[in-house]
Amino acid sequence: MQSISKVYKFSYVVLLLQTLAALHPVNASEGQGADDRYLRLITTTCLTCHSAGNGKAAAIPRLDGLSAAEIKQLLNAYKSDRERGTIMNRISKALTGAEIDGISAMFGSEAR
Amino acid sequence: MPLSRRRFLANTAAAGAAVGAGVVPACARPPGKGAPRVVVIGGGYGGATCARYIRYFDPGVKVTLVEMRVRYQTCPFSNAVLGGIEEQASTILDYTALKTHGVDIVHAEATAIDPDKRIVTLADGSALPYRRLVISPGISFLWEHIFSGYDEAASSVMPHAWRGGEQLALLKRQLAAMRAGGVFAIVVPGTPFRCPPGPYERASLAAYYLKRTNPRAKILILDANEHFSKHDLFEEGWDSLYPGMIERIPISAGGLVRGVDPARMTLHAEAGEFRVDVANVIPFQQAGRLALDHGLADETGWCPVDHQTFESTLVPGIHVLGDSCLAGNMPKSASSANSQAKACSLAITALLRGQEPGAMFYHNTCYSLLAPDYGISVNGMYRYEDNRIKPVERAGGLSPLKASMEYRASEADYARSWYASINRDSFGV
Repeated sequence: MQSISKVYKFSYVVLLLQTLAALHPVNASEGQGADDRYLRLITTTCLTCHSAGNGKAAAIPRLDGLSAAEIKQLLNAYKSDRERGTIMNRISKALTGAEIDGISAMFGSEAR
Repeated sequence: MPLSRRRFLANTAAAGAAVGAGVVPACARPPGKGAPRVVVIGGGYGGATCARYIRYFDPGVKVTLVEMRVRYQTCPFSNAVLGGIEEQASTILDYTALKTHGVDIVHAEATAIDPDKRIVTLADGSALPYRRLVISPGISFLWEHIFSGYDEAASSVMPHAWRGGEQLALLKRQLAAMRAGGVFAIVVPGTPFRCPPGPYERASLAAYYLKRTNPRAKILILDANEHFSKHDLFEEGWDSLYPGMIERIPISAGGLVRGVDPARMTLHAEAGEFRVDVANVIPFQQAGRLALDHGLADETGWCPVDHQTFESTLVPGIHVLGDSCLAGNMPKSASSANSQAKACSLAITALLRGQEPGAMFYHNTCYSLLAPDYGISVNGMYRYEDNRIKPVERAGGLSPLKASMEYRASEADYARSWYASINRDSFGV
């Protein structure tokens, strides 16, 4: 098994988030600071349904093969209903732009 | 260029072949001596997820999960077992995989909690000191409450089958042995109860089973409620899949059962007496016994908690998760417990370092099957705002009415995939 130390490349994540924060300042009305721990909490929410992804459970795919750009594109497409799925249209509408950027970067940094 | 669905699936299928991803919690180094210890009691979805994710958010914390049972029967997919589309054995999990995530597993009964000294005592007398305690004790039943005559002994004749196990196997045997054209009754308690759509999914999958084995059989739902989860979606599905087979009497039409007579297989409802062939009586519910015994429940029978940390507002240092806790509008489901456990884990690891728990995000996704190729879903998204768990406006919601059969079939596939995934996420399997 791959070590989780990859997620703990803390300085990289901080740098990434600082960059994201500079590009996408969180709107105060959105009410959430896009900090590292909070974004990790949201990515763990994705994993409730996206952890298996094989055999009988292949219908909901894993996310770890997608780049940050691909995840961001999909989430935005679901959020705007350009992509028609089932529950992803309902889920993505709960995410702010900064949250989509942040969690896409977190998953995308794991893509191989 | 838009990312096509085919490319998305091709990509993710390739990824599925690779084992473990960094965002996915994986094996971690053990914490050093003197590391803080969190004790988690109760190894359902809430407790297992919490134990796993405390280690994910801070591998420097020791976690001990205390659970009496060696095997865990999931309530999700228990109705599929009843409907004959899933084997009971495939809904039984164990705790061995959690050990690889650095969780110490103790199969023992917690007999005492000392919240002042912060010590849990086990049945063999051994003491487990903790810095923070998490309990996720599920539900307990209010025997004889409203349903006069319905006690534990009565449940051996009229099973509740609401926690899997032998009760589920008994109900399945009773359905299989029911006379041709017999009546199967489901008695639904008042809310709140574990798995709000559960009784109606049960009616659906029992109908799926009986339609093949006993096509003149009827299903009668005697309901202590007026409306229910995914109400319109269930009724639309019943009309198309099982026309004339399922009758529901809501509380306004006398659906409230006031007493049961197991010897005569009779249910005394406000609408009249119903003599039935098989009776599934789901009792009124309250917080799990452990929570009740330690003063964690209030006058509602459920446990009030801080919505940011899930710490009890009645007993400091003890966090309560899952079905037992009062978590705003979040339904009592495996998915809610899984989500609450993640927020609680994040909060506990912050509190142990003297940090603020910070912003919180929660989610619930519940699928129900009406047939193997017919699934529906409800979804809720929540944030911690104004000191409470608050639904995110214009997000979440139900499957659409009048959807195509392709849509229903895809949600049935997603339901099976969801089940495998939440089991892996919660139990590490």
